Amino acid sequence: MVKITIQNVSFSYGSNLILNDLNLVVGDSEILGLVGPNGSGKTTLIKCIDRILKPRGSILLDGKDLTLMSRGEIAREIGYVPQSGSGAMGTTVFETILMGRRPHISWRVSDRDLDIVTEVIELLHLEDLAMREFGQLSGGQRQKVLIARALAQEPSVLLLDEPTSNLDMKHQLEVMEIIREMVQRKKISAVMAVHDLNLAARFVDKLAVLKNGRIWAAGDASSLLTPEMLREVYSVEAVVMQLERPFVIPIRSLNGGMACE
Amino acid sequence: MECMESRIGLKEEYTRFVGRKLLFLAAISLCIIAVAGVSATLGSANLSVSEVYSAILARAFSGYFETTWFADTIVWGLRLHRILMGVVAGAGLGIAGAVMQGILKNPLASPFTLGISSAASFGAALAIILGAGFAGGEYLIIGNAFVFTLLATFAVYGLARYKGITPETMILAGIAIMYFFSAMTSFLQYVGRAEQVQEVVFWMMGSLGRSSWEKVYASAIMVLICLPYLILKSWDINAIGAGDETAKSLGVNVERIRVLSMVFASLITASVICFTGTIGFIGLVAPHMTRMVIGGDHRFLLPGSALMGALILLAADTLARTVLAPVILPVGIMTSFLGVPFFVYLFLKRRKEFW
Amino acid sequence: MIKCLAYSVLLLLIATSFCSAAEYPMTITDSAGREVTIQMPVERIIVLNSDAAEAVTILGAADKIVGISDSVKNKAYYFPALKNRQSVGKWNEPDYEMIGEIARSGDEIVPNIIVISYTYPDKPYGIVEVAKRLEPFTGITAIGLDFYKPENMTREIELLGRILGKEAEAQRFIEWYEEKQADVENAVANKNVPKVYVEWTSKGGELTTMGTGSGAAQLVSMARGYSIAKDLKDAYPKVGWEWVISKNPDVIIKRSTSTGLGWERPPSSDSVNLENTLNEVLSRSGAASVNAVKNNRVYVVNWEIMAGLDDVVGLTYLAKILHPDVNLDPESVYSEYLQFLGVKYPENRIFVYPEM
Repeated sequence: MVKITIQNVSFSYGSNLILNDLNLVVGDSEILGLVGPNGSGKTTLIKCIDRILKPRGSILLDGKDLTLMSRGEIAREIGYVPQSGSGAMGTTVFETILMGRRPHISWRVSDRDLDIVTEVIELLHLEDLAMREFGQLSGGQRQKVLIARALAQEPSVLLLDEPTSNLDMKHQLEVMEIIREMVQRKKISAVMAVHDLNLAARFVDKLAVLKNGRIWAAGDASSLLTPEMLREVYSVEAVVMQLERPFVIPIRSLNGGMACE
Repeated sequence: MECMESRIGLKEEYTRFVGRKLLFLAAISLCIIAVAGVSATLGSANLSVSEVYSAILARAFSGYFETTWFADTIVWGLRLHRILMGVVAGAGLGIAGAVMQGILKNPLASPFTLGISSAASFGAALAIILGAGFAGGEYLIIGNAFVFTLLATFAVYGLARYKGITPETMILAGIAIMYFFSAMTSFLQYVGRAEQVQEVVFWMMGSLGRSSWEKVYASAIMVLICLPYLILKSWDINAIGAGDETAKSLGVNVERIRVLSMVFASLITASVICFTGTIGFIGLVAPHMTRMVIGGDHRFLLPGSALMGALILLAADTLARTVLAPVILPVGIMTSFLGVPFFVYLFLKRRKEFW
Repeated sequence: MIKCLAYSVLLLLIATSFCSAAEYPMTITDSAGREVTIQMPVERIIVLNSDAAEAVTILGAADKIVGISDSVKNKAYYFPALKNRQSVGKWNEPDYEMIGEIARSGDEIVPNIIVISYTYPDKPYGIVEVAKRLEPFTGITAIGLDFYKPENMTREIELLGRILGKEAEAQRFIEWYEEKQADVENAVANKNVPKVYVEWTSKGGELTTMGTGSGAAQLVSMARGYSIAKDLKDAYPKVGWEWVISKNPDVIIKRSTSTGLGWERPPSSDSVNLENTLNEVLSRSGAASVNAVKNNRVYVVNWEIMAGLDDVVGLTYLAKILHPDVNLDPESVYSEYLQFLGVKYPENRIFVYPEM
């Protein structure tokens, strides 16, 4: 089943074309990884899917055009985890996650809202942090709380913008494992921008490679992660070991780098 | 089983957490009532506590309480409207400050951040020095201060709209407007005569001495009209605190909330300071003090800041008119004397990160 | 309507025909043009206006003063008798509750009490606002009187005399006042007219003088001087030092004040300060080319005597400054004035520096 259909989507800041005629589909309970060098349009695409930005072309959610949905309706379907989120000033972890219920509540917090928040807190093992100030948490803890907030929205789609950047190795794995588990358990789809190709290869179902605002290619990791792709898209000379999954070992940067011969 | 228990535990903990916030709001409300009750008995007129309360109650339950003409005149004609003006003005400035800090995501924001006080001062100066304005007679200064406050708000909105309604554009536009009106006021003061300039300075210092029942009603009605919108949108202001994009992804129409909140906060500020002159400090500090105690959830922070502002201003004015009686000190001096130590205490005691 | 009008005309007739006999209720028109009705003979007075406190004292009614503002309190050297009177707060923001408390006896206010304030039209501390704030206290009559505008002086003293039933005392003071004025007028008649620059303030290098309409400008002209600021409309116009030089005044009068009655005769700490004030003027660039500086005719004058009921003292000093050879004795004029206040002329005090 197709969850999200992206058709002829373009976006520009002024005269600066960021996304150029993209076409993509994301299936049910599928994690789509967006890879590509800095500035290739990954973050912009994610914001377009959440209609934080308003692109040309159309994006369909369960076959329904997002432009026909109100902001509230979208918020009940799509959860967004920003690259580096700050909590509101002086709010606890519990309150930050409770904020995820915003699309579902008018003013009063119901018992069900509290149930959902506590459930999410347990799922992500955040019980001990629940009453701490969000601002006091470490980077990894914050990332987990932000994912928890998105999950409290009870979305059918999760958008994540580089959820593992700035995290140490253990937290990278932990966060990715959580996402994987949630997608399976809650039957939701996820679109995730990732920098680390090896992490992507390990955790996503499908990859889309972006370059200069265009989809260079889309498909599964083992067919896309090749030395040719890395040379063309990243300008990096690399060795790709084909183990159980492809494993990228970068060697050196090409053209423009310091290492010119 | 264990899972169930911990879930109930967390929920209970949150409920207790909310309970503590409500307790704090109730405590401040009681403090306000207590200070108001004491304040009503203080003053140069030699009235006993029972005379004062008889005078108050006699109007509510005539027939049951007996009062004297003099006590009635002092209490109803001089003291009570001043006390209520303090409560209304403090509450208005407190809530306007909390809203501004929330929507601008800036700890230094206050009701005056967007050039409001300098616009109001200019309006007053225009009335005092040139006698020009939007209303006649005794409403000249009041009307001018009010209208120019709103003009400043719309100017900030107009400027910021060009570049998108973000905290940065609004603050920068506010700074531009502030300097513009300050310069105009300085110019008026330069061409004005000495006693006119003195009056402008007097107006800018802020005082509850100009209160009357009509002014209390007018302020209170404006504040009460604007309040429901802001309280209703506390969730959205909370979301904006987490970042514009997050707020949008949570279904908040960020620009509209920001503009409307700004307009309502300015309206509240305008309807207070046109009667009192600019009273600084409260709008800046009352939200901080409240946030330090009950956290940043605007559902509680907004009413909390209103109550805190009311308490500080009322207490300050009570001291201002009694400490050196019969000399009445400018209330702005007392708010700082009273508020700063309290603020510093909270600031040092709580090590948590608030911003 | 017609009946009402007829009544008021009748009342007016009664009021005017019996005014000399001090019939009550007495209707007067105060200096703000307000019609005020006084119910019965005035026994108690609260003065917010320090010039009015002077007038009341001169008319011999200081014992009726029951409340004073801070500005009266701060001039203890003029009002030794009022030292222990109840304060009612700042003159421009009085404690109305205190006024009510002073006025009442038990639960009523006997309407034999008045509050005197400056007129200041449209100001929050003017008589209209004061009267409005006192409205709840029925029985207190608010009256606007200034006593610092030379053109209204005689009228106001006569009016106060009527209000207090002190017509004879008022007449006596007016006669003295006019006699002293006439002395100056006669003494300076036919003298050359020197150009005079009066400096009101020089705060931060920004100079203000006194233009037409200010009391000082009128005094200068009565003392047969020509104010170089005559054509400037405001009371306290801002001017530049270059403009002053270009007018080349023959005399410079620099305003100064003190906390006591005049300054201590040199050598004293007062005279050190006065010397500094003087030197600041003399050391301004280009000062040497000004006639007043060349001829040592720059004077620091204590402004106490330049405005209010005592301005005739200032006038006499001014005449002496502008025309040093006239036969006038300002010190004895001041001494006579102080007798009205019941204050002895102080030894070793000066009011103009350097001494003439």
